[in-house]
Amino acid sequence: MNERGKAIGKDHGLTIRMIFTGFLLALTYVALFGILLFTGLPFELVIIMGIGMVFFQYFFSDKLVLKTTGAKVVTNTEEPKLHEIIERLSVEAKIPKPKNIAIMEVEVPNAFATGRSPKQATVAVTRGLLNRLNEEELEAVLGHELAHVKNRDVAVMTWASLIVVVSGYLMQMMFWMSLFGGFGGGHRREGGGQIWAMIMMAYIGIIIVYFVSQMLTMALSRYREYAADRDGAIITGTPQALASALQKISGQIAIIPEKDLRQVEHANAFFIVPALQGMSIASMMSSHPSTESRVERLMEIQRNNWHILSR
Amino acid sequence: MFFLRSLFSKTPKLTASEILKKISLFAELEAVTPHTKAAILLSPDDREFFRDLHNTVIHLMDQTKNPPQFKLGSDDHGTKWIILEKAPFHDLVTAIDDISAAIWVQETGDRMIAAIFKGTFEKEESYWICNYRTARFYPFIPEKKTESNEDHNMAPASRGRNHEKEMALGQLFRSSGLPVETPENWFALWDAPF
Repeated sequence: MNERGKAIGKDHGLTIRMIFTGFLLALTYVALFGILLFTGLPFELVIIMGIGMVFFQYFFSDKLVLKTTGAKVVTNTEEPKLHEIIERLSVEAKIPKPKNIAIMEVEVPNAFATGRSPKQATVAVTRGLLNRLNEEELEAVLGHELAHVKNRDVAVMTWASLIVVVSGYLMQMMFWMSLFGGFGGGHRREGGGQIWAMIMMAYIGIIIVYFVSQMLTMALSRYREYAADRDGAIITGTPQALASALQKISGQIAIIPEKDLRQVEHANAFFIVPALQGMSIASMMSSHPSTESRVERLMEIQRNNWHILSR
Repeated sequence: MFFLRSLFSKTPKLTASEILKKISLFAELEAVTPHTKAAILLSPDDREFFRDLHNTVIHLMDQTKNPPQFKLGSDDHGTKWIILEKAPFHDLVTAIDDISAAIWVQETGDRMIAAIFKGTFEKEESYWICNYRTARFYPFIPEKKTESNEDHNMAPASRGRNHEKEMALGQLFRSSGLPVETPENWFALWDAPF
């Protein structure tokens, strides 16, 4: 942590939430293995497959993502400015400069970081991002991505999602088994009814584990985003620039209406707004927190630490 | 308690009255210059309260400390404006808060649409709108009016809003602790009569 980071300090609330979510996630593992032991079902193959998938993702995520997004690795000569900013911010973040710096030739402004460790990291940005953000905002976004690299978020989230992968496989497998009579339905008359009931219970248990673990993984992902916002702000010292960049990237400017408040009031449309407040299912299943809440937190960092940040 | 707060921390929802008080603190920021005018936007119905709005407001003004001068305004939407003027910003806020509370007590609160303040932000005239339904603020910075624009409902191409500065002002609202409306609800108030 740099001097600025020490001065700003940690967000203990966020740390506690991450630990608590991790603990609940560990409980879902216990629940899943409990279910498997209870029913005595031979699911070793599925578990091995799940672990295999996660390993593959862990070791080849950077290559996979570059391939699927069409991002092209650019050299220092091709994009000297981008290389210079990332190099400078990496020094500030006390991590090695990422192995690959890439650009996607699309107009949608966005960025991502991937790779299992800081040494193996890839940071990619879109052409749209380079065109739309000013230098300070671009630095803030790159600071956020380097914070993901530093916090090893790809590794954390890949392993956290193992339970979702495994329970998802099991869920599918049991669904197909139920369709083709694999639940012992044919033997119900010979005392197989009890086994059938037990397997049905296991099936329901696995469905619950799947949805709960999915929700917890998404919550953890949102907390990691907040942490990357905070750490990115510490690296660059400009939380307000990241807030401004987020608003540009999310297209919030585009959604400001031209309609008049009085016109809307007459149509009574406004009554819908309070009804939509609070935590919606969609927000609980989202991997990223809302731009609004991220901007709010960044501005809080700015407000509480202006004396440190303005140095 | 800290542990539980950390897990489920949500800032408690503020009442419109509490939010109005926060705008006084906001107006003290160096980045903004508050004007000496503010307004309450009402959507009147045929209830007694609105029939003689002028006298009703005079009566309401009697109940507030340092009452500012006021006038009534109207527009093509059939809404009414109680415009307070020529008073320090803090007195305007107090008066708006008192009048709003009085309107609420008389069970006509459902006809209140917004409280509107005015100020200069980065050399632009801006409106600071507090939506009563959501108890949240949002900015409105119309571009300078051109001769060709007479439509109050939609902004013609010749006249629009300064979205970049609205975003910046919205951020400033947030950073000073004001609850801010989501941008999709930042509805305009074209041709406000003050």
